[in-house]
Amino acid sequence: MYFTHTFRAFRHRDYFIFWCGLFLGHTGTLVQTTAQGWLIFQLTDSPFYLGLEGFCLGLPRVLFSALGGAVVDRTDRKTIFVITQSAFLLMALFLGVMNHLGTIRVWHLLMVSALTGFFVSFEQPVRQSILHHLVPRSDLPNAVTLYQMVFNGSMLFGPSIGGLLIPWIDTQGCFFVATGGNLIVLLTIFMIRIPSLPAAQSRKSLTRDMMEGLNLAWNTPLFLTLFTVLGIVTFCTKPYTQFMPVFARDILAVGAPGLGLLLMAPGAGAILGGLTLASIRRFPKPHRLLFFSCRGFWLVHRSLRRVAPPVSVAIVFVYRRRISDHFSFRDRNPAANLYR
Amino acid sequence: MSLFGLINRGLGPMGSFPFGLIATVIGAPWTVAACGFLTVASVAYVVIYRSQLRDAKAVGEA
Repeated sequence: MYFTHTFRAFRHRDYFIFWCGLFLGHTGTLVQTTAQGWLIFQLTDSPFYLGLEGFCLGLPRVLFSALGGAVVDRTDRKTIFVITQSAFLLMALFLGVMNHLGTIRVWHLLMVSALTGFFVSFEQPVRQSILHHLVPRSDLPNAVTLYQMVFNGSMLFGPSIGGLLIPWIDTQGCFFVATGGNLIVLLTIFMIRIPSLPAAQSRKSLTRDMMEGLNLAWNTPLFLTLFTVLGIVTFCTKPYTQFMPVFARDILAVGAPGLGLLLMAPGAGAILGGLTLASIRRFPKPHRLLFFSCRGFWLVHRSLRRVAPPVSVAIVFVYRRRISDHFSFRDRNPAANLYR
Repeated sequence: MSLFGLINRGLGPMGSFPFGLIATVIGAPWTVAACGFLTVASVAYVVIYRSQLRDAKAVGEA
């Protein structure tokens, strides 16, 4: 009864197929991401290239996300989804083949990251847009929650599977696994019915929307403070995942499986943080949340670091992610919706 | 929401580049430590010196 209620959006065939495809596809993508980081570090021995890879992936997303949203509003969504998934599939296949032939260079990996960032700018809005048409309105909140589980869940499984696979089938095998994941997503899109959108209605441009947001944030002290905190936290905490191959190989000497564990930890943290926030009946003051989170972080680090260093580090990162989750309200409603 | 999305998605990768450069000079562990210190210090500063966060009420709270 409980599960029927919790997973009620799965009653809708198209949504269920779409969800399964996304879960497998995203898990495959994270297997690829883990292998990419590991391979870049093997090829260059330089944390700079790891940072550069994150930059190459993220910059196109910033530059093209507005364009992606606008294009999705005006073009056939199935076509965009097929094009973007095919691009992901071909890129993973390209990396696998180049790696297998032994001709892969770091610029190949950086180029694939940049192209992935570009295509994600289009794939993300179209994916979200499709989701809204697969379930009736009454089941939409449940569908959105389960949709978030795709990302939190695959963050838990993807990197750990990637880390375990690297010693077994090497990074090239991971790229082929990702190719398979993308192929599954591509197949699922042909198994579901996606209604066409009506012609683009007049709506505000994203630039105008953004300017209004900036204006509001600048003139509302609470928003300005919240966005400042969010900006600092995001700028300083997100890059650490890029350096995980350095920790796994050179500092903790736990190899690729350890890398998987380290990259899995933030996923577990996100789930823990999300469940914690969801179970809070009365939302605490943000500054109290800060000190509570820091105390938990410090206690776990103190108690475990001497017993099992790699586990300790992993768990510290679980809590670290959880803390940043609390602050940035990542994957949740923005703080502006929670506080006034 | 757009601004939130831009900050959330955009600033993280922007940080990868400068922190990657710093990591080549001082090493990844110290870079991550510096990231952590910067985060806690700046958030503590905002929380302590900006009263808006202390005075904020959750939606639905009286």
